[in-house]
Amino acid sequence: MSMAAEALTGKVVDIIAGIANRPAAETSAGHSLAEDLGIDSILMLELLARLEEEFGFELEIDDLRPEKLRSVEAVVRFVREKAGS
Amino acid sequence: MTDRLRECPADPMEGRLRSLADEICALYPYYKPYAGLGFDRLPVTDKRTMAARRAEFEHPNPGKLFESFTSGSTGVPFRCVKSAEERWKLSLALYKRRKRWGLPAKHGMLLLSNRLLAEPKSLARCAERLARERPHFVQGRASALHALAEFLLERGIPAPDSLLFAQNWGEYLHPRQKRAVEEALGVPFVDYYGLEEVWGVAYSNGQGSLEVDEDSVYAEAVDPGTGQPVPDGEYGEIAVTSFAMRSLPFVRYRTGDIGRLRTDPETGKRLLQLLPVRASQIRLPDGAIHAATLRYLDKFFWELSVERGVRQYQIVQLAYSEFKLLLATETDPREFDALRDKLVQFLGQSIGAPAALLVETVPFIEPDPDSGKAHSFVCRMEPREGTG
Repeated sequence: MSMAAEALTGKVVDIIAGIANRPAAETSAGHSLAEDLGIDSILMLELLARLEEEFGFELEIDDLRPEKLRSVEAVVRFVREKAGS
Repeated sequence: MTDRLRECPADPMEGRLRSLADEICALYPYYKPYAGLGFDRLPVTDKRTMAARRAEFEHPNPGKLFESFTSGSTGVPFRCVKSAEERWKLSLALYKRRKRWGLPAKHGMLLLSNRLLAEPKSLARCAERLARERPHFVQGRASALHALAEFLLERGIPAPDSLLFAQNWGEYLHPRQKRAVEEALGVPFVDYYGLEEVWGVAYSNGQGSLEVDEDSVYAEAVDPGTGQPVPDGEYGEIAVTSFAMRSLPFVRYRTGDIGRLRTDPETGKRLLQLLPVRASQIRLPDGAIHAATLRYLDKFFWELSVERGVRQYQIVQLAYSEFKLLLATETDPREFDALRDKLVQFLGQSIGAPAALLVETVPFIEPDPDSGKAHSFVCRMEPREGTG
């Protein structure tokens, strides 16, 4: 993984961990946002707002698909695509 | 099979329904006998069936579940459950629809209380909150939003420019109400149709029609007598199939609401038109409150159904502070003295005056002849009584 990609991943994990109120070191790629990290619907909106703010993109309607945002790994992939475009 | 799927067998929806049918027939005992027969051979279900055969509908490994209760328009108490992921998916679907109206991820919302119509000062307080909090959208029952709109228009109070839309919740939206709210708030008044069981089913599109959210549900109109789909454009009972729910599957689930479905020839989207049902209001000497406040009792009545075999219930308003509670059960009415006392207290708090309540047990609660439904609340006061 390039340094830039690693930095992006680290930043996303930090944001997710912050929203879930747990240490980033205890937040792994395979964790489900809802089931494992307890990120409910209200926290999910807060997460989306933070990601938009941090990475400078705006969410499109089609971005809001559960499979794109289900796990930490999925969110990292999603942000990489949005930030890249 | 509906006309639409029959005419377009390559419709992606057909594939989704086939996969769903295969999955639920493998997972739930109730559906095992239907394995391999396809979605359109699955039986329609309803609250009564699912409550009576609950164990056959429960996911074998549900995990942690969040519960809620409903009786809706049938008076049959029902316990809903959802996993964290299901709630999350359903919430995302709601937000996705609201985003079409411009709602940002970080937003403010003002939710109107069900009691807005009963307390005159509430409207003034609500107007103050609107100005102070500057929400992105206002949500509430059509009657409450309409009352607020009339209050603002009469006093020439402008709405904040932060507003993007107003959303109806749980009441039939009359065109007159829509016009007033849009004039007062200066934003679209969008409609919403959903159930506690599966949340969002259909939402207003930009042309004022209810559009089915087919990412989340499949909707059909079925003949209430046979359970068979009616031709497109004809009225029938709306049955919904949820793609998100697994802790309890809602497949061809009868909603109790009558409506018709058709496909928009330009967009290909499914449009839903509901038959209006008279809103239930608890009448007060100086106003009314929506009977939805009785939803606070849904869990209470569900417990009654489990512990005392109460099959249905109906609260009947006979006069401003006189009520009758009908219970469909064989249990002796004297067993419900504690219930009566609790309900009297609740009704008294709701109407702001001491309430009297008679408990009557019956074998069956007759449905309303107009709507065909046994509502959990009905008002039997004469039309000239009160201001409701």
